[in-house]
Amino acid sequence: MSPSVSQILARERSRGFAHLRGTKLAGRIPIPGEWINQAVRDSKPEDSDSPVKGIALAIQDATRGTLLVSLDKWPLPKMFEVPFLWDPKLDLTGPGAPLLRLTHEVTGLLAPAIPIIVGSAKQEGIRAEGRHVTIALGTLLQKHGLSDLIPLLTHLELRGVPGKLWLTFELSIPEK
Amino acid sequence: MKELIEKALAGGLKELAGLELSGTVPIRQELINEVIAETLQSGVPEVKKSSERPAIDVNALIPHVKKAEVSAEGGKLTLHFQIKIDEN
Repeated sequence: MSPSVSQILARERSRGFAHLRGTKLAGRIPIPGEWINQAVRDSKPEDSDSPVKGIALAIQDATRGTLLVSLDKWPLPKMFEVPFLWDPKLDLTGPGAPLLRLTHEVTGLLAPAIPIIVGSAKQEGIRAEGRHVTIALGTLLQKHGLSDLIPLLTHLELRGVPGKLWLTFELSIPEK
Repeated sequence: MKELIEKALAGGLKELAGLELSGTVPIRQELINEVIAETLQSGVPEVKKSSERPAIDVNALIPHVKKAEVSAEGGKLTLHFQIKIDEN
């Protein structure tokens, strides 16, 4: 019996892709909004004492979305919307890369509370500063068994259409 | 998440309609010889176990391969491929 493509790839991964040097891949992958929301739910720590009880993402267009945040035990509305923009080109450098950078558009009294709420969610790889939130997708990719591909990425872009995101990537395995 | 992915695999990856992948993969003779040896021995060496496993088995994409060609130049084989999951 011949080894399957999966078996060959799995073995090459364990060898650091030594026999696949010079490989170049490119592609675009749709990510259904339902999958993203399930991944967000799955990533919430079970024993979390965070006031954030739920987060749901609605994607509007190429770089704009809204987070529907539900809270508990918090002197704020039980549910509120956080409209935000994101930078479609992901940063491939630095700890936790790829980094997705969001800028929220919440105004009024709730705006200063956003970094506090993000911090209280205690989600690994997510940090907020002022209007900006950075999500270290490297942490997420590690959980899905793809962390060894991160150093090989040369381009990563995330654009939305209503209901889904499109991930565009380029990957290269250096010759040496 | 696992359930959603399993549902998508069972449904022929319709949720991923529009997916496109393409690439060129130089194939070293060591790898070819290894695969030939395994095929002849009717056995596949055990893959080193890892806690990390891809969410989607790459074998699920094989029915969606639109192009796969091998070129040989200067004693070097290169696989060119294109995968696309059709919209309907």
